[in-house]
Amino acid sequence: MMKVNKDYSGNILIVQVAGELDHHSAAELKAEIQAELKKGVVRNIILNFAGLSFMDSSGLGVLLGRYKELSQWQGRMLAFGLQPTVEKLFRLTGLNRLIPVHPNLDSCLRALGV
Amino acid sequence: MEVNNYFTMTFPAYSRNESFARVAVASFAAQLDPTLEELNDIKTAVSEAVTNAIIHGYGEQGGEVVITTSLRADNTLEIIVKDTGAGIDDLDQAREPLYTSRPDLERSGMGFTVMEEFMDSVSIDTKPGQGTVVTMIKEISVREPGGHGED
Repeated sequence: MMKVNKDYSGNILIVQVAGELDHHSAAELKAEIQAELKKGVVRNIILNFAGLSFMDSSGLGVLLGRYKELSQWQGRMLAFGLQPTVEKLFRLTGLNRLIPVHPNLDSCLRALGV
Repeated sequence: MEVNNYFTMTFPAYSRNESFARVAVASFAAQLDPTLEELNDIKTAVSEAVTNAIIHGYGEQGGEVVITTSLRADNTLEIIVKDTGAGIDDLDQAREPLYTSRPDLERSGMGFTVMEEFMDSVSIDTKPGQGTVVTMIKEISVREPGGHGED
């Protein structure tokens, strides 16, 4: 089970993902984020993973896909609130080099110059 | 190595069974008293192997995934994930980080890499047209009684 909530801070899309992100739920997360990107106002994305208890390489795939979309306009993707198992996946796969991991939302916003 | 306990589960290759499969294996593995990190490693590796079977083994055609989990006397866990689907044509290529045969599905190509990082050993036996068997071994740390503080 996965639950997605979306919020904005200016042109920053804040996506809160709770539950489990795997192959089964990846398509839903992709659709949720793409629906926002289509509106043409999103510059950067912050991922709130505080409620995310599980993620595998299918989650990696869907995040990399959105990272590439943001790269078209030099947008950035940051994440915070990672539980140890998700943090381990980010670290071992090198995803943290593309999607920097921050301790909290304020730190993400500061990194984006807010 | 002597096997102390084992269980086998068979389920249709539906993506909605991925969560159940990894939780079922982790619940069975709990008998070896793993740490929370070890349990999460097992869940992640099982999820990768099952997802591969569903997407790459069977694809649209469907089929059955069989998982056998054995608890061995040396406090290791052996997990065998089997499909009788397409098999892998070029195994060396499939094991390379970031390689995927399905970029159209936004696969990251990191499945085997994740299995290898999270488990102690991963071996793959595959025959094109006949299917794939992934065997993963995880050594579970033996803890002193009362030494559960790290959880």
